[in-house]
Amino acid sequence: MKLIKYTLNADGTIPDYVTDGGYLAAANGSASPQDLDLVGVATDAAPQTGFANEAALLAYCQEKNFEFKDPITEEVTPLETVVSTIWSKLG
Amino acid sequence: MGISSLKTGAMKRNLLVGNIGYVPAVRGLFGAGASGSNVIQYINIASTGNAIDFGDLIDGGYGRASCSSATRGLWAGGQNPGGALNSIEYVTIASTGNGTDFGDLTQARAGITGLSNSTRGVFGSGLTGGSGSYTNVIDYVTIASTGNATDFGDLYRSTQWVGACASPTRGIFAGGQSEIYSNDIGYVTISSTGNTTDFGDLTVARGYLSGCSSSTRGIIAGGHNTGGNVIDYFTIATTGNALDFGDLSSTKFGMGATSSPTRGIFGGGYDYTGSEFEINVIDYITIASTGNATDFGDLLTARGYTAACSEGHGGLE
Repeated sequence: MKLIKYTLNADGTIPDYVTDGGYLAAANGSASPQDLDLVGVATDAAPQTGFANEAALLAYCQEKNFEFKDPITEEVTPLETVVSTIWSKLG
Repeated sequence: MGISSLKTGAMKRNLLVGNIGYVPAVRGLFGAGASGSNVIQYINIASTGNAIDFGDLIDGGYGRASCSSATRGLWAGGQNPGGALNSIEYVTIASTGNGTDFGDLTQARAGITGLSNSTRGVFGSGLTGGSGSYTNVIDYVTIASTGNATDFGDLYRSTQWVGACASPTRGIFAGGQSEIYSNDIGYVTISSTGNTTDFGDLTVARGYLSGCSSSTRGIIAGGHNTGGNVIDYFTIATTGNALDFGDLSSTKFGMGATSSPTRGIFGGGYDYTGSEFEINVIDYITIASTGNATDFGDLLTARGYTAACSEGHGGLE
């Protein structure tokens, strides 16, 4: 298993090799439904190279300026916590 | 299922729509919302007109849940300046009256979500108090009665602001916002009790979602993050991952959503692009198709975190 960046298939389905995904959505400028880069756990059959480690995923989040802020409580989840939670899905 | 087979209180009224002729006028209600709003407003889902004033709820506030039978609409939970609410109240959809006390939830909470079939209303998720106090509690009530809610079971995770929809037999909860955005989709059998069972995944993990359905197809839309313009769909009677349906008119979250047997409606909410301002936009989709949402009309005022129900949603057929 590996953690990869991917898009939906052109017909709007989740790629078969993604077992737990849809995280860290980032606009990529393509046409819908492939207009979002997503991160998820994938089988080794996935053609993408996985993030090497947790630090690489954190760097990606920082590059994309992700922020996890509840709009009501305004509580911000630190990126490190988000990354750790997603990385732990690799099992 | 076509409009001609609609079996709801909506059959009492018809609406002349363009060159289509007279179709059942399914009434959709939006109630409560940000800024302590207790306003209820309604639309005729078969039209594309603006909302009309209905009456007032006893308790205003944001993050309330709504569900309905063909005759009665319920609002439960929420948050006002006094704290999280445990109250449940109801209105008679065919009237334009104020809310009447129904009973209490087992747990006061905001960011709660409702679904129903014709007899039972089910409420799940929420934030019970301060930051991080997410709950996985699911409650249920018998819509035609009054009385306090009963524990139903547990949601797939402790979270808030999930999306929900239903067929007459199955209730679906999806997504949610807690420490991270959730991609979970879980289902319950409405007539039973028990915990959610894994259904599949949303295409994009997100929270502050809105859901609606026909009797066969579930729709989950919006979200408080990039990807909040995504509309997902799935076949309720199966299990499996959601598929991309199309896009909302903008990236937005905290909408009220409801449906007729054929049309899904998303009203109000907050625009996510930039300053997160309340909006009055109502979008609609044709549930049996795929494609982007179309402009419907406007709510009476811009209103975020409102909750919606109808006399003809997918749980009622």
